[in-house]
Amino acid sequence: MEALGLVYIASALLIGLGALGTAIGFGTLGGKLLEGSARQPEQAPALQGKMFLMAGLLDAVPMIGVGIAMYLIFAVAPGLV
Amino acid sequence: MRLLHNSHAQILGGQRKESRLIPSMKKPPVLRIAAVQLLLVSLTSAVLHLSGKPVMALSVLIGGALCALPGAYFGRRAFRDGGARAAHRVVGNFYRAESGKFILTMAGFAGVFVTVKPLNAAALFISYGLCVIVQWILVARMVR
Repeated sequence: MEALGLVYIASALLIGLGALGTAIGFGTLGGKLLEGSARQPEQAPALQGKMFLMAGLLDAVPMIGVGIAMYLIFAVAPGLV
Repeated sequence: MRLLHNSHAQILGGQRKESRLIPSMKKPPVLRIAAVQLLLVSLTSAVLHLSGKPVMALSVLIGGALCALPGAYFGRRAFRDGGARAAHRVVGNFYRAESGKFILTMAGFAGVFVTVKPLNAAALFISYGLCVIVQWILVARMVR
């Protein structure tokens, strides 16, 4: 029972901290895009393309974390009950 | 970069001013990226299936699909608007796209772990990770 609780806490930390990191990263990224677009409007399309690249890099690790959390909840936890 | 000239002239301060040349946003081929990812995992899955590992083949296919489909949704949603004038909408679209991708990925993984049995979790995560790397490479080539 204690192990089950630890599995749920680990999953919550994986999802929560992953979401927090992505939120901070996207906040910074979006803010910089607005700043860059305001300074140099002609560069806006290029900045948007680069933001797409950075967004892919940014959210990959949290997404893998979410996948591992789902594995812990739906594949590991039922075996501990 | 392709240039578009705004045909409408702006009237500012009683003077008629021609709007300057504004580079158009070339939308990234997000569906092509997803198609390449799905093609690669399908080929790998087919090879594994033919070599007598059906569980691993299914896991690899599902891992690739879990990466490619939310990624395609993200790309489609994030690039609805473009350009400097729509910068606020661009940022809003990126937030919505990222939230949607997060929810889709979570629901996808949960659904797979609940419904698909037997499943090789290691193969699924490795396939997912390789698909992410393929996505980085394709997007980096595209942006360059």
